[in-house]
Amino acid sequence: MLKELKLYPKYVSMSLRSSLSYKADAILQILSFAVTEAVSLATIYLIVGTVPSVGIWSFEALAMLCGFTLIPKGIDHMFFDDLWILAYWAVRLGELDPYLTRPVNPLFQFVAKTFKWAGSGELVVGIVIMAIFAPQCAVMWTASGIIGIIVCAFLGIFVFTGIKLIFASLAFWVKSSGVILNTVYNFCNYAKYPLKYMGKAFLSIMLYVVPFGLFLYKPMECLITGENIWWSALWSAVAAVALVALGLFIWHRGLRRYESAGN
Amino acid sequence: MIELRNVKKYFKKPVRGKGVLGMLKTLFSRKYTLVKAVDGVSFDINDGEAVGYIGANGAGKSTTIKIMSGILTPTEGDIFIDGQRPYVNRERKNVLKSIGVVFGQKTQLWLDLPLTETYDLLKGVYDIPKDEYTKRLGELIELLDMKPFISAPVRTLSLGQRMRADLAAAMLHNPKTLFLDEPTIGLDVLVKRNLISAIKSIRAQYNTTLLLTTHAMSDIEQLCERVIVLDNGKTLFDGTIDGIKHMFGDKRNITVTTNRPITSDSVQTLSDRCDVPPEISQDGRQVKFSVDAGKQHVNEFLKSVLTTLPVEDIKITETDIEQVVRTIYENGIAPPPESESDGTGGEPDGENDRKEIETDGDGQKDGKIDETD
Repeated sequence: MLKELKLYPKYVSMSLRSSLSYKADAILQILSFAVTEAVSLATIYLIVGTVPSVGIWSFEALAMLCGFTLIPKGIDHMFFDDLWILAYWAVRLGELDPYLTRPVNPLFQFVAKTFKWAGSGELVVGIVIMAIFAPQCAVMWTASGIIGIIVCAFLGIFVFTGIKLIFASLAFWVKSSGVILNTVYNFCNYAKYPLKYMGKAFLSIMLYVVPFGLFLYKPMECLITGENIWWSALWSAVAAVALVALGLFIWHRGLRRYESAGN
Repeated sequence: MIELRNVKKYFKKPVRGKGVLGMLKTLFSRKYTLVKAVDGVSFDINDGEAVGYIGANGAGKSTTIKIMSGILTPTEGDIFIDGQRPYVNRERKNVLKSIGVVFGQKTQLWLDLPLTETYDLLKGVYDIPKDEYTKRLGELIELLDMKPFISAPVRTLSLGQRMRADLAAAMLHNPKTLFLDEPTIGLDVLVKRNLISAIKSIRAQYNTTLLLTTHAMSDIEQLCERVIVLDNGKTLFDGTIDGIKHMFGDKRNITVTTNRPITSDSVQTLSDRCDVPPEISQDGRQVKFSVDAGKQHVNEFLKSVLTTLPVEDIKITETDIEQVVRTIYENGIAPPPESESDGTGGEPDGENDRKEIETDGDGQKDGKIDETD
């Protein structure tokens, strides 16, 4: 583990310099992520703008929620983006070979080799939106509340990563699990909306099945209603640990089935 | 010391139907073909040995190397490299530190950055002390003549340069064993010769154990003392180079172009001295002889050719591995009766292997349909 920590900065610096050799591509990627998220905020504005509020959710609160969801998503994007490649091609094309022949954890090597700074587009848009709308919300900002959402966002990174790892590792069985991963991953977009009013069944799915609601939506609802935010932080922690552990388990089982690719 | 004990690797491939309807059926079918890529291979390689590992495409060479280098887990059997198994989680890191791997078809280098960056990363990955790293990299740059391109981005390198760079990457941590999987593939004759001599000098300098797969017999002859022939996942032969030549015949293919058409009668005396009848092309201006250099002096034979035929051009090629494999199919594995006492290193159970092959000698991989869920 210590060795991996020591190696990580080296990987990041190599990956950054590597991506800088395609400057235009990198800048366009950042812009495209930022624009995508800005457009989705505009959509919410168009929907909510016609009515003053959705139940307890004012437009400002929804905008803050939208910004908040982007923070763990963007960070996960920056650090663990290559899990998408695992899902789509790496298993099918036998691209894991070089990582398996080196005496460092292969999963570490695989995710460390790409530091996707384009993910910072989402992160920055998220922080800016929050900075604009958080003060305008009718929320009593307490130290406990602020630390609570920071903790939830931090844990959220690992829930994203765990879910990605689980469904990307399925590729060892189905060869290409990109479409499955994409479907599950996109559920995170629903956490931007007031889940409370979207039906009990859907809310349960978002809390307990694909727990994006747990660390993205629930903490914000707690802030608005004044409920104890630490309960959702606790459950986020449980989800993060469980999903990452399950992901690692599936990855290890899958690795035994890895077939590489013929020459 | 590398020990392979009855190693098997089977792959399950879904049985695919033809056309769109067949594709749909595949989705819901539980039928698999069991492809036996490696099917009960056992051998030992001692420290410092150089072994050539040959076989036709799909014979299971790469699969074996991939199991030995920790990429694949065997379905059955065990591989010990200095007593440790590369595919067992707790033992893999120790094994991987003592081996170096080069796949001719895939590079392990960081494509967009100069070579030195990859080497610097490997220094961390293998915990190479700084002094040792500097010394060794210097030696390898010298040995492999890498100075001209050491700071160029990898994607701009030619195939020959890239292969040398990959070789250096695999040797950086001073591995006891080096696995080379088709290192000369796609290289032109000159570059190939340079690479072979570089591998030779690496072995001379570091006494590295070498396992090499290739399609070119000449690579093996220059680098290895011992050959293992694999076919359909089973070992057909394990012994010295001379042994294999003895067993399968040291064949020379002689193609003669004549300046006027000839008939089969005119080559009658020559064809008596060949094992197989010569092939005459349709216009009668080209004849192909196959001569066993063990039974026949090649220069004597050529003299007769020159005197009996109106020769315009002669081309001579040596046995290549495809031919060895073809010989195996045609004549079986048993050594010719007159050389039985020579002790060519053939396996005692060679006879069984041959029977196996004959039973599924329809040219397909020996697979069978299994119902699995």
